[in-house]
Amino acid sequence: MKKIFLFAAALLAFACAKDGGNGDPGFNLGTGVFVCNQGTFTSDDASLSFYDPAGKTVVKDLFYDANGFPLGNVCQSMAIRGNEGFVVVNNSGKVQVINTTTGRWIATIDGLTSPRYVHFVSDTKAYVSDMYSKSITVINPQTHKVTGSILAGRGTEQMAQWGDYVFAASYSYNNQIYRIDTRRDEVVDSVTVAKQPNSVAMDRNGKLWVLSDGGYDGSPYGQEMAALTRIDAATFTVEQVFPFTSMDASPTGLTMNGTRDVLYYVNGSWNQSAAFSRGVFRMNVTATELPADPFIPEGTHLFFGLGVHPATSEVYVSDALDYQQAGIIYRYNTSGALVDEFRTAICPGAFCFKTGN
Amino acid sequence: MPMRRTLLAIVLLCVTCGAAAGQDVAGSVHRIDGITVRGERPVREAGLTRTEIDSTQLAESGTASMAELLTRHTPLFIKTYGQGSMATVSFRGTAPSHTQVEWNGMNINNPMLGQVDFSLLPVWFVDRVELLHGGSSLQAGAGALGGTVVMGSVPRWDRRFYGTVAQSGGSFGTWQTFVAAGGGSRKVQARVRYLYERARNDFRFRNIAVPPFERVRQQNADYEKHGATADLFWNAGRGHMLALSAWYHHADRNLPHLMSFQGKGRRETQTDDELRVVLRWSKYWRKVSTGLSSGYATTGIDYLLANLTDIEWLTNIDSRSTVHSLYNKYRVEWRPSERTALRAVLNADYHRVRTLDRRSAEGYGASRTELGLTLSAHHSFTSVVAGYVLLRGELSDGSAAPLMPSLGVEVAPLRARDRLRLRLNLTRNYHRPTLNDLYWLPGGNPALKPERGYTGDVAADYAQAFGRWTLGVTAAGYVSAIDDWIAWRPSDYRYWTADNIREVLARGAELTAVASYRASAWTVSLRGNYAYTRTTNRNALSASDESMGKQLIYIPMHKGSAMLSAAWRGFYLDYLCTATGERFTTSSNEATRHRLPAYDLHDVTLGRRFGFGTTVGLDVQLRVNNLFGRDYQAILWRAMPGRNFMLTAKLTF
Repeated sequence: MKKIFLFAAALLAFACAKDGGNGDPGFNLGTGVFVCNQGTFTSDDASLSFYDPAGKTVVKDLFYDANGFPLGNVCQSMAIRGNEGFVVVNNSGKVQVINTTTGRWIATIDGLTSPRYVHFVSDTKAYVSDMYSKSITVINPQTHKVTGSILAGRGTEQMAQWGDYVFAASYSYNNQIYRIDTRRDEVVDSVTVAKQPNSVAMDRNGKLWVLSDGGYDGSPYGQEMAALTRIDAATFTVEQVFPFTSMDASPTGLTMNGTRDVLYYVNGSWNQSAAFSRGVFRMNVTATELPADPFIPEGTHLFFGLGVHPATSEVYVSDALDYQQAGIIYRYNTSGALVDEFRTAICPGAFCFKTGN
Repeated sequence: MPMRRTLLAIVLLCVTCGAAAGQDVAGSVHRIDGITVRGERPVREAGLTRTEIDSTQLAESGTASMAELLTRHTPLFIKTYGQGSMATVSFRGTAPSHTQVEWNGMNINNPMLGQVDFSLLPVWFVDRVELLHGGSSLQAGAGALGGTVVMGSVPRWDRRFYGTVAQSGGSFGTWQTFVAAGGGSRKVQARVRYLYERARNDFRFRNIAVPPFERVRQQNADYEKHGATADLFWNAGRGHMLALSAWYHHADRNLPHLMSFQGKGRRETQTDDELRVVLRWSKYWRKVSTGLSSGYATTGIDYLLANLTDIEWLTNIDSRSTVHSLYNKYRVEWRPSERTALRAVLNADYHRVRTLDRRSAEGYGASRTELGLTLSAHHSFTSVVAGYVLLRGELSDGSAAPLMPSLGVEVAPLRARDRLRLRLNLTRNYHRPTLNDLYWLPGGNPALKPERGYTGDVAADYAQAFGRWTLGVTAAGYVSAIDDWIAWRPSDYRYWTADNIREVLARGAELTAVASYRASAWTVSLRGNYAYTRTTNRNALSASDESMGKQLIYIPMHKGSAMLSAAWRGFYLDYLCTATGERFTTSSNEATRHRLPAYDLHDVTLGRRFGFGTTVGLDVQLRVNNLFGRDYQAILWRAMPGRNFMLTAKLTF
């Protein structure tokens, strides 16, 4: 019986994948939230989920269900341009491009090293940051082809843009923010922040916010106090540093609301016994100090990925549990009340909001 | 008469393997002294659940690794990444580090990782393999919450000069050369063995992870290994026995990508070097025997991960780990009567570990000193009832683990005592955290407690001969509660940490059966084994944790194998079927695509033995693995080979 089932499943998978978008129309997704589930490192169990906030329904394994083959190993992030979604599959060295309405696979941008994030500069140009490579890959989102590269000197993570400049954080054993001139596709400057900047966000006033976790105790690179840094994008100078108050703090996931005037991040610690408040923190971009109390306390959860809906400012935060089962997404409204919770797949780590059809 | 001879053979087998399980050279002495054949097993074997891999199965599995041998012929489950790649064991549903492995009385588990890579142990290098199941393993030492695999060398005192030359060639550029020579007198015996093996391992498979789903060649799965062992046995007279054994191997392995990999380029390699030397001395009096063994082992594991960028090959991990270990064991045994044996075993071991990632400069250095004392009393109350009590205590870097008691009772209810034995065993065991669990940076946790195992098991052995038929069955059932199970779990964000978080309940059954028929010109035998393993997590990390009550990942509930062997006038045929049940890869046991379906593999070996004179033999065999070309995954999205062949010619003299 099982064998028959397996055979049928394989046949189905083959049939689905083979028709390349002609026969099976795939899904018909409206606005909603894509969830990048990292899966297990060194296993092809990464997946992409889709959540409809209005109907509170979830498609847990969107990519596989629509295409019949797996996304790959470690789904890191996703970015949308028009009706195409660029899903970064880190440890498989590729970006899968899908139709954001049907979920169907369109193309694979392969031959990358350790891609992390996609940042669109224009309709014909996007940057793909890379954790290992010393350069940022330049792609054409229309042709899905690699068109060039930008030498950064070190690996890069999240990116944000102000005018003609893209700012890229260099996280791994580094403390730099690179400034890239998009007209020349060149790194033209860099600035030093606290160790290991893991996330960046650009506010409405042209201030670049950088969150650094400070490294960890015992690291050969050394550890320093985690900090949030505000950089003026126009002058590319550090305006203010907001250091955290405990060496146990390991903040991540800096993001911003739709009007780009409120910052959100998750603070926690790898030292379970460290006594300080954990959870999702919220901070106005005009605030003069870090918030002391969390907007959403962590409680018994272990918060992992964070996203804020650009239209509703609702907060989506994931708990990956033991990283070996489907993680849970908690959805909170702007007053911090739980609106919904749902399971996606293994290790949900990033959100991508689809606001148009 | 044949029936009696068979019974005698069974008894002989029990006795010799029993003596060997004493982790000393006693077995040899017993054999040369010719005192092996007794009506009863030694009293110190009573109450233990032990199975031995038949010597013919060993001989026919020469070209295989221990990983393949254990998969084929025991209830153990081996999790393997494919031919030549890492293979770890799950004994009775436990973790790889819960199986202890002994070679000539010396533990060979890597103190840093806790486990053994069974793909690096060639069957050619051992003369005997046996399993101590569950609580019975405490006889050999602590920490084997699942059980112990015991391997070793056995001298051939009756041979002046003997040897083996074997050459194999098979699919995917697999080549293996084995040479062994030994000999000596009834006083001194020596033997050396050498093995060279390499494989391109570039089998074809259909890559269903990447459109357009073409048949492609496996990349980066090639390996090259070589190794040697040497044994020297000296029967010095007056009950003195000396044995020196050494083992060296070197393995260079390329580690293959996942099926979905489409990056620019990636190199992932591992090099293993291992040297073990053990010197054993024992002395026998009429009622007392004593033994001392000292061993040294060093392991080096280099792991390299490099990725191709658009500029250069960039090394991401270049990790070098070195382990040095010293082992010392002193044993004294007093047998005041045939019915009683008292034993004390004292061991003192030392491990030093250094690991460094030369790329990130992350690493740690640590050492550990372990002292242990086992006291046991074995007694045969009547010819029907025998049993033992055992108590083990351990000190590790000055901190004492709670006492480990074990109790075993054996009943032989039938008049023919060897026909049926029933056993009961109750044991409390501890497994210390590995050095990585304690000290790895970041995330190692020096405050870890040892894992605690409470095991109860019942077993029955049945053996009988009916005319030309012989039948043997061993059945066992067990329940094991393992608390403070160590797992690495994510703490906040970028680091994982080791913690005593799981409570695991493992219960199950093992069945091993053999039936054989012997006529003048031909023999037929059918061997089978089956394991039912239910290993579940009993505690939830939080209210949302759905892993509670679920089977641990990658442990099949059902696993079995059956081998039909037939021999006729020098020809032989083995048909082996191995079946592995469904496995979950999520701790919540979700019935999604992340569940690995059951698979069955069929292997056939056809061979012919030629004899030249009385001592020279040539054995030519063709082996077909995965006869039906099953497309399966042992590990999620790791390609496995389809039908493949291996031709072997073996000359023995």
